[in-house]
Amino acid sequence: MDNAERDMTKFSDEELMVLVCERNTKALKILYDRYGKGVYNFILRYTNNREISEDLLQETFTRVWFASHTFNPVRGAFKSWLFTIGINITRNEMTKKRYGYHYVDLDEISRDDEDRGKKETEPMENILEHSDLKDTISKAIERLNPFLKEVVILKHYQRLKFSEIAEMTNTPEGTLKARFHNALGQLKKLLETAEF
Amino acid sequence: MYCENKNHLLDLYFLEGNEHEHSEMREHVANCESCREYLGTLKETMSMLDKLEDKEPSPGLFDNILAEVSVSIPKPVKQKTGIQVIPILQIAFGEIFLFSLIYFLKIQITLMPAFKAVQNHWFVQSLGSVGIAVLIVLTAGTFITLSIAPVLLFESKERKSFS
Repeated sequence: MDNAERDMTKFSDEELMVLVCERNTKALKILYDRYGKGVYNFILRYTNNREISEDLLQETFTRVWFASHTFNPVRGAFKSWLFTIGINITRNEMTKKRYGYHYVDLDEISRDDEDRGKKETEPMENILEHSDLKDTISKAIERLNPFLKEVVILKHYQRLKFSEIAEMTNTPEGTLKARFHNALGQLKKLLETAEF
Repeated sequence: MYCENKNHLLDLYFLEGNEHEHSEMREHVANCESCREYLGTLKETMSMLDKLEDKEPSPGLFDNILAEVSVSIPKPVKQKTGIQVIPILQIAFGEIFLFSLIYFLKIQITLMPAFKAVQNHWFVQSLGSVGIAVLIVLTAGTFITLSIAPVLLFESKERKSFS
């Protein structure tokens, strides 16, 4: 890291975006260092596939570069703008039929529940202690409906406020909270059953 | 069946909203069994999700991004400031050069012995008048160009600093 780059690390996101508009790749690198991991983990939890996530992360930052002139700091923070790009790219990619993801059906879970009997009263961690816990959690998130998955990842993992998510996804806060409750119910049941 | 305060419960859990709302909600939770149950589920599920650690993207990924954007980095375009100072000076020096050339030729021709024989011919007279007119125009042009150049230079700098 040379002196110029070291100085630029102190720049705000908005200042760096001005430099990106002037085709400064060092500014893009600093923004990548700040937010690349966050966007990557958002996409990874959405897709549960490292290869796809890296491709989509690359596409997100490439789009930041080419669409840098459309960023307006008055309309919102850079982080929101970046995640909006990431969300849209991921949504578009995941709607392509080739992935063939199977999202969870609530009725399906309810039927599983009835069969489980006693198991329901046990804590989730005990149920999952013999299985690969992380893999189970990843799969549970993967099986959520895309809208529910999105709100859980942005809220819980990215620590964003509901108001920020509302701005990014252009969805009312009330709807997002309803989706979160719904996601919570589905996740609880999926983790308890732990059968995919 | 959960209480209708579930949305406020989310605000309390994620510490969104204001402290007044939180204290009201804490009081409510103390007296509402369904909210306590919901809060327990929320905490348990969220703590399960916490077990997923963040992962790092491949170290060379930014190089791929760089390769993709570098292909189409346009050459930096110089911002046009409207008036270019250098061409104005070139015009002024051109005018001075032409003036000097014509004046030099005029002196050389008048000094030639053969000139005396034809100096009263109408063609030579008219040529002389045209030459004098050109010299007057060039002198005026040079004077005007050189006098406005500093003003234009100043304006051009001002525009650059505002843009």
